[in-house]
Amino acid sequence: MTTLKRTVPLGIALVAGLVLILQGFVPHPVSGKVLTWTQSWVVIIAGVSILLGVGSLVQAHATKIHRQSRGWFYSAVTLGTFGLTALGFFHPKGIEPGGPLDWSYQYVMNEMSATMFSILGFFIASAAFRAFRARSVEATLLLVAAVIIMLGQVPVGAYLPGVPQVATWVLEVPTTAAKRAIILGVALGSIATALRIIFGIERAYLGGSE
Amino acid sequence: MRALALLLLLQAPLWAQLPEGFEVYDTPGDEGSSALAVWKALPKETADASYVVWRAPAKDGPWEEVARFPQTAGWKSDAPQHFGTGSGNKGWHWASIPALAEPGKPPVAMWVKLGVEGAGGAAESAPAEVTPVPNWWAWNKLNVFLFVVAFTCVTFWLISRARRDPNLFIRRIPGLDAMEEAIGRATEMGKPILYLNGLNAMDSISTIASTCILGQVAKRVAAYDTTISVPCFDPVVMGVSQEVMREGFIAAGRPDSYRSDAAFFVTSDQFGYVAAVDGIMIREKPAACFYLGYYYAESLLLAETGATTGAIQIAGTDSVTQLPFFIATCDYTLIGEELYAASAYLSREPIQLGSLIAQDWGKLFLLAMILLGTVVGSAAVVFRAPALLFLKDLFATYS
Amino acid sequence: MSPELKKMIPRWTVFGIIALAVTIPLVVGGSTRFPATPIVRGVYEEIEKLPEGSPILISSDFDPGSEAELEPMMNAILAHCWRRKLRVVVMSLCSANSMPLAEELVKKAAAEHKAEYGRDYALMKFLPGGTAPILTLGQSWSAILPKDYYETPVADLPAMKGITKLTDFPYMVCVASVATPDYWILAGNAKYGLKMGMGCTAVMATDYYPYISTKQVSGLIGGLAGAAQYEALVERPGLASSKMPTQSVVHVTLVLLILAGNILHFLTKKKGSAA
Repeated sequence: MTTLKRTVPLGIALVAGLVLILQGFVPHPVSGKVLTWTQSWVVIIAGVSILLGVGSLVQAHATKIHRQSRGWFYSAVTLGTFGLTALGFFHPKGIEPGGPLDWSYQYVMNEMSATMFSILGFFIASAAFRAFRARSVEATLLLVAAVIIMLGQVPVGAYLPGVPQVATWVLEVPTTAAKRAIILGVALGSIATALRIIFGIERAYLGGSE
Repeated sequence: MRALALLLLLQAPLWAQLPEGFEVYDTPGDEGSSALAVWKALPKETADASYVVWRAPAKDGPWEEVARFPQTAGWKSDAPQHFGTGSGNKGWHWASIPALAEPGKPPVAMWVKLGVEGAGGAAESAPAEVTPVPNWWAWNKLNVFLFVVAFTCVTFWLISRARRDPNLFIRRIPGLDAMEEAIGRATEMGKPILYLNGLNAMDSISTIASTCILGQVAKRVAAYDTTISVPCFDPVVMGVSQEVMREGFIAAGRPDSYRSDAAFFVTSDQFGYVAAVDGIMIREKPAACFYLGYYYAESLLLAETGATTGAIQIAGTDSVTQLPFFIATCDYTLIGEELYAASAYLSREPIQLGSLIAQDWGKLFLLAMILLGTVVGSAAVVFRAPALLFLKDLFATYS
Repeated sequence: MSPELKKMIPRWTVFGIIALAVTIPLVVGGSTRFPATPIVRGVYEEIEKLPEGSPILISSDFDPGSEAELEPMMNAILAHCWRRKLRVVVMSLCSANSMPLAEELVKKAAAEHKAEYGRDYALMKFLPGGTAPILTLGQSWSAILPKDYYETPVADLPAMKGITKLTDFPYMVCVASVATPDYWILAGNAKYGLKMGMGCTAVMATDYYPYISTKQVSGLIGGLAGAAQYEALVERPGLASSKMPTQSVVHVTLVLLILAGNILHFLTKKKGSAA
């Protein structure tokens, strides 16, 4: 059991990791074939995993309804709409334009997603109202930069002399410098974490470190 | 008589000047799909005149046009992926010629010729033969390869050193220290903990780091006997989260308290996921919310809703764009690589800490290279010494 | 009044003011011309350079949630491509929802520009897997996209003539609301040298400035403001330009709210220290 749960996955991670690192430096078509083959597996696993998700979704919500836990009504709505959407697939028009799935996509999914995204505008305003306070020198700098960027990014900023130029400078120079520093750290962290995973030093993602 | 002379002049063939240094060679470090043609710019070039490149399977044709561009375009300096960024590219043109052989098929020789077309007439060079062959090594990535090898060696050396001397210093990360406090608070209040793994799949380093932290959090959750909820965006991440939590509960000696439905799949739709998680927050009012992993536009929608419920919020992401939102709305935020360090920090395993120190060494090396590159580049521009110019080109090509 | 409700009052007041700042300019209407910055120009100029009949790849990586912000950008880019008589190939790496949306947008724009499917443009299927499909497309297009969105073999589409792998596209634009530009930069540009430009939501834009100075990305169209600038470049004021007055009013309102918040903060602090 330990062999199947630990040794085999760690072996796969080691071989796949080393092969794919080397692949990046080998331009020969053979290397390309190896990459295509491994990437096909990624796509297949991603597709099959959807079944796992659907199983979990149905189980989690069915349990809530069965136990009449708090908010079980929402679980009923989720399962009901899930079932309706699945049924729509069996409709003669299926996913074709004008079919039930197309209709629910156009008139339910689109609108609901757009609504959720638009809430972001309100939340940004509320967070900015709370967070941008001139409590210290650093906070004041942040506040001033935010105001300049906000005005410099819209046409009205063009009427304020120098504001668009300063906004562009803030974005291109200090922001880019800070971001590059973070990106460098992230890149090195990614390499170190990848090495830990490839060589089996980090195995917590397999469940436990033994 | 003058009219006749003019007529004769107009009918006479006009020959455009051909550039010097026309050369064709196999593209180095490619899969054998192309060859490169290079030639020196003419002393006088205009946008109205064009360079044309043809290829053929035999010296006498049939010729097929593969590139045509104005004389003012197609500079070697525009293609650093082939020629680097050295000053030797100045005043040279180039063109890529696709191979005749299909990808993966044996190499086939071809003939290439260069032409000049413009108001001054047309001219063609003598054909040159070339065979694009697949290469086994991308020499233009040598610097990357050497860095990867060196970084790996340093990491292993530091890990072996850490095994011998486990008392390595690691700076405090307040966000991680606060996790214990947040779990304790949830236990006291009798409210659940909400843990989110981000929106990326299991192939993302930040998701792996997040599931590793979840293992540590699960151990403490089991020890305190509190409840945890992990709504997942990706089914594979859900499976891994369940397994990691189960092991955490077993390690804490509370396997009976583990519930497999603590980690569950919600949806793989960004805003559908936000709506569901925000709903959970409003209904269950968790005492602590952990947002660890990669986030997109939904970060503020989640964290702002969490803030209104009064939960302690700890975020950690390598998504640079979303960091400001987390900083504005959460109590603690792990910035960039702090997220990757979290598992090592919480577990305190010497071998993991060793790899963290390797990260610092790598950063120091890159900083030194940036500084050296800046000094060499600036000095080369000011003093124009050949050695400095060579170093500047070397840095520019391999940076 | 419960303390919880009292705590919510400033929040709901901010929401109310923002709602008014959004709706009033929308009702009043109007349009503002926004001169293009060099960063937006970077995409425009690369498309301008492409000879007539060249193929161009567009990765439409957004779903309905970001449609309002990215549709105007997509429209302006498509208009530019067809004006230059380019062959447009649209694909997506974002989600299963992104391709139906792309189909709807591209078809609408095609009808307006009299572009014919198969000849002037082609739609591909959604490809999951992040960098994986890009790496494969770099080796062989037909390995994972042998057929188009409507199951027609790509070899039968004139719009796909001469395309055997990714680098057969002289230029590509990634229009995204998720991190797919990272994938294109990492796998498309860094590995295969694919020339690219990008458009994204305003909140993502600052993430990609470093890639402009390294010339890995030729230009960046950021959010509605970027789209309005692109509309000005292609001289086709549309959805984005018409939303610029609203964006201006909202930004100014937000600045005023922040200032008001600071004044209140100082007044409360002063009152607290006096007491």
